[in-house]
Amino acid sequence: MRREFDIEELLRWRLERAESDAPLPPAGLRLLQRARPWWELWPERFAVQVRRLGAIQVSYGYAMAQFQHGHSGHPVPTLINHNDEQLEAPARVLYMNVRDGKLRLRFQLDPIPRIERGFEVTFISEGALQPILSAYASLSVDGEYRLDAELPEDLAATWEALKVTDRMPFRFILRPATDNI
Amino acid sequence: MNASAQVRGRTYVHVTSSASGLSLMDTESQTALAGYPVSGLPLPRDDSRSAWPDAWLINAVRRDPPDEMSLDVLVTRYWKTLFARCQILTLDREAASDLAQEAWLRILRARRSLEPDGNFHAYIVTVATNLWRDRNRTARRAGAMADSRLESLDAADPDHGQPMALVDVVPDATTLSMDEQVLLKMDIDRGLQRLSPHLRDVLVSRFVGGESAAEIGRRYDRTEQTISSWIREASREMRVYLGESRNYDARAENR
Repeated sequence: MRREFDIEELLRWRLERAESDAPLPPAGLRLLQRARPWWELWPERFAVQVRRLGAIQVSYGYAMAQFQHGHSGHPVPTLINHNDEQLEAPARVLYMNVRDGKLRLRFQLDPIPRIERGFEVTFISEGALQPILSAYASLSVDGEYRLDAELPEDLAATWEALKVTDRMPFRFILRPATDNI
Repeated sequence: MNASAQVRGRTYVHVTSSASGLSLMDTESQTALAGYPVSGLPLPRDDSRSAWPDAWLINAVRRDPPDEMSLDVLVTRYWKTLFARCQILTLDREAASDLAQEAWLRILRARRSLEPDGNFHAYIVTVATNLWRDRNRTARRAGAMADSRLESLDAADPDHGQPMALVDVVPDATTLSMDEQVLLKMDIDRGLQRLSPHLRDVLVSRFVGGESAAEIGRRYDRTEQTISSWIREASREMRVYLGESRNYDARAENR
């Protein structure tokens, strides 16, 4: 027997079938292990990369002169970590705002070594070279990377006064977001 | 994308009371829910967690270290519906499982910002959907469904607002044999696959997620009218595909 069957019903029926065909859920322990920050999972790899990041010298005067065309902001020493290679490409913070403990940040890579749709951004403290924050940045249509992150109280208090033209108290290690899947 | 997200206008924000060190949500909940597993108190060793409300489980997951048993219960409680939503977006079983797990990883990496009293199911589905949208963003820009084509749909209203019915095209699924159900599932997936990610997203958001055209429009920065026309176009494309496909099947059966 046939009857009228609209798209909504069809999709809901398909959804029910998908539910009944679902694989077993992953174990919580496994998820927790995978969710650990990468610098805890691979401390040796982190040590190598942070050494290289710390060695990056940025000539601020030169870099500022290179970006006179519409953009402000100091370059942030950045290491882009692909699976088997690390690339250096200064990031330029175009916008930074901290309000109610939440960070909103936009940055641009210049030059762009390889376009990635998203990065896991690890903020490394400028002085101690320790990881202080990790967040996801996604590529916007303007070719900028944008991220929103909840900040711990101490960072929020310190960064609230930062202006985009200030020298940033952090460096970046960028990892393509798909590496984490 | 950050793990904090808006769900139906509600933002998940972690607020901490500087005086007590307890989250305000913990503090409030102590008075509202007896036995609420606040930080510092030992958790039970038995398996009673399966009866816990989401808020208790979430608070237990937010602790340091997180309570694995509570996480297991929470994952299991929403796994099937989360997977199903991911399946209908990705149209691939393995990709759906990856996407669902990635949503969980995003949430766990920012677990302290979880709001126990929020709608957790809506939240994790939103995280997964946003991840899927992020992945499609580049492909969409590349041109398969460029904005120019979407604009051309804005004025189109081929059915003049009539409901999209598939009369005599798709049978009542409840009366189908198992083999026929498998074929229908494949047809629906192929029909959805033919839609651009934009159109698939609005169709799923409207009919599966239950969002209004106005709500979807706010996300896409388009008018309600525009989104309605996208939904109609997506429905029309599905109807055309299913009509062609199932008529072909019928002809093949008759031969």
